[in-house]
Amino acid sequence: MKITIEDLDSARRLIRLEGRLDLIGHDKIESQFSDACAEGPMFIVLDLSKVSFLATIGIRLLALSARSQEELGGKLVLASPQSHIRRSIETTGVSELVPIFENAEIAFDALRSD
Amino acid sequence: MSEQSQTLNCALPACKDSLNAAHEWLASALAQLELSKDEFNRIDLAVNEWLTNIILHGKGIDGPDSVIRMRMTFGSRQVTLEIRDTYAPFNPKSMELPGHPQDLEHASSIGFGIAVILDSVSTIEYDRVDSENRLLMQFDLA
Repeated sequence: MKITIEDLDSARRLIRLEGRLDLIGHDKIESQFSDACAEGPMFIVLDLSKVSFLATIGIRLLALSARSQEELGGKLVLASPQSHIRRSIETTGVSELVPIFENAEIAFDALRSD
Repeated sequence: MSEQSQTLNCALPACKDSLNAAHEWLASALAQLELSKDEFNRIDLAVNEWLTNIILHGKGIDGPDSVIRMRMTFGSRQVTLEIRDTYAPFNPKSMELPGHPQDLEHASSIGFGIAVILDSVSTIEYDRVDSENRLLMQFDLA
């Protein structure tokens, strides 16, 4: 599991994940990912296009990080999941709380107009 | 199950690294079925969630040396997986499912694993045999 963090400006952060986000992947990125989502109020888009597998421990991490950002006054949303990844998120109902967008650009546009 | 079905067995230690080993075993064995990504993910996800549950929450009678045994039978229309472990009895069908969370606080505090397993399988059976949990998951293929 790989994580890449890119700050587009002081208020917008793009986080890309790559690989299998199961218990093993979760334990590899949890600390860095949680910190990146709790530094201050931001618009954060999480690009899931290269996530090949998403277990519920990963979905819970996404929800926890979205909650951290919400408490800070910012927002975290998801972008570009493959269809089987989207289905897993929808099955849990977390997609009703953490919006999913077609790609990062659309996600940032939506956050700006929010 | 068709006449051309195959059966494979696998035994793994009940530890985190076994999640990758189980994924590789499934991917290798099922490659010949040329499953879609969605179909393979249903199977991979259900197995990963069940093994994670065992690894994180189980308390085995054999301690850290506990072994998880898997048997997979598959043909062109169906995949059946039997998973046995020696941990404390745990019947996923008796669990009260959490439902969809109402807010992020709720979403970040509940477990979704069993709900995802039940959503992924076509049928599921559980019983306790000879001090072992025995989970039988069946996946009908398109």
